[in-house]
Amino acid sequence: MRKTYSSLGAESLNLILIGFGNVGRALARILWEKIDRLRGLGLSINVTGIFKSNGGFVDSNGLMLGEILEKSEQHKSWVPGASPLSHIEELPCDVVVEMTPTNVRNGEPGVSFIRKALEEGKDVVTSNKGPLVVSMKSLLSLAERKGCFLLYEATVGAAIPIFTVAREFLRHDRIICVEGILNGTTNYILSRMSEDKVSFDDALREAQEMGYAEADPTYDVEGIDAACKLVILANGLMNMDKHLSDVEIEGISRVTPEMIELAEEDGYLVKHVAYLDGEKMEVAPRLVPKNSPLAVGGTFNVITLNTELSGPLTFIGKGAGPRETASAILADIITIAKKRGGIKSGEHVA
Amino acid sequence: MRVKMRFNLADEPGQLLKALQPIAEFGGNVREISHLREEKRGNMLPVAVTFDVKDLDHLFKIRDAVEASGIQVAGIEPLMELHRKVVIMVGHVFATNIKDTIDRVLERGVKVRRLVARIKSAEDVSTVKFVLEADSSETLESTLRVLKKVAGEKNLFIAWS
Repeated sequence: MRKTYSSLGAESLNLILIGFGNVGRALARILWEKIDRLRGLGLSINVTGIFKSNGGFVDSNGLMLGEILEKSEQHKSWVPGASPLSHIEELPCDVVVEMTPTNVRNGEPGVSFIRKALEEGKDVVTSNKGPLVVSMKSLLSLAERKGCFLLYEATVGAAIPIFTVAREFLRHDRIICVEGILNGTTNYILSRMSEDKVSFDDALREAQEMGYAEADPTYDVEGIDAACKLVILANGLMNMDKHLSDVEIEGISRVTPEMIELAEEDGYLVKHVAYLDGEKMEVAPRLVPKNSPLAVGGTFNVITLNTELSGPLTFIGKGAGPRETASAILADIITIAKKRGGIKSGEHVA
Repeated sequence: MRVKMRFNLADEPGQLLKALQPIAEFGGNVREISHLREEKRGNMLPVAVTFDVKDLDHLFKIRDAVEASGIQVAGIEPLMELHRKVVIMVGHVFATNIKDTIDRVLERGVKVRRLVARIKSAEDVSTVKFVLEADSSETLESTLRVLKKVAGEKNLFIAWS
């Protein structure tokens, strides 16, 4: 029988963080900033290990997050070359938070870290799309066999709580189709082209200067990022077993100012829409009515669930950003603590 | 389906109600009533009532009930509910035989209501908007599938409503 986390402060929830880039650092900062708020929920969180590609910060009594954020590898807990694979067994750990960079080709190194954690009976929270796009079904069934949680709210739409809503509020209902804008970069580019009549190339350059788009923007602009998220939505919301190859993908690099102009004459905006139903998965430029809930601007994401009983439910939020993503991760950690009995039932956790 | 039923009613109080009652009774959903006063012949006033029925059986049941109440049905016409889709194509739309593209749309029973083109030069890509209309959304969806295929063959980039 696995232990439950005490709500009385007698025991802490021990975390291992894997990946210490923008999201990992934002999570460490939030855990540090929100320490009193979390204690108010009866949740005392200890981070016993933080791992990067070249080593890790390790302290079985709990790391001083503020110091590590400040001193980085100069901190006394830094162990060059330390690997999470061996430390998951050795360090006190209840939840492994996996935040390594996305690799949609084979999901590594995330897949190995998640698999190892689940095999050791640890709950897992991830913000990494790669492992889920490559082998979501097998990871979820491993989690089930081991009696562990594998939560992944941060992988789609950052802080938009889409999987939590489905899991907590729509279990009685049936999701018929899902549509949305799942990539903030392409939405920014299309919004700029529409609002300020700039060309695709200029809007892309601007997105890169603002830090919204990567130096190699292919992943966003050609729709691969949105397609990965659509795969996770299909498997996570509709219990499918889909892969990236199941999605018809068309990017936005061929959108012309004339296309946007002709669309606007008939009351439409050009948006990069991801669509999913029982038969079809598609990411493509679409003409969306200006008054549609999908007509969000800037870097916003939007997801509409069309359900049998509840009708259409639409969620809008910032689809990216380290703090928003870290917020979704922390929400998943709290969900696990709550399910394991670490937070009193009915406690206000918002 | 939506239909328009014409009656010739005596121009006196209570006549219209008499015609509407069987429609309501059998579940026809009334959308519009027009008095065609300019077509009045003697005391007989033509009136057109537009309403929705489930199918032809439903319609005939209503017609029989109207006639059984002593009202003469002068005519029934089906009204098309038009569905519309806007498709915009970018690429060498003209150089890749736009007539063939349009023919493949037309052969599916879809009307090209409007076509707007933005052309810069013969070498440049052009952007062409098709406003398509059909009597059912299924017809439009199947036309869209054809258009996507055509676009793939001709390397045209498309966005649709």
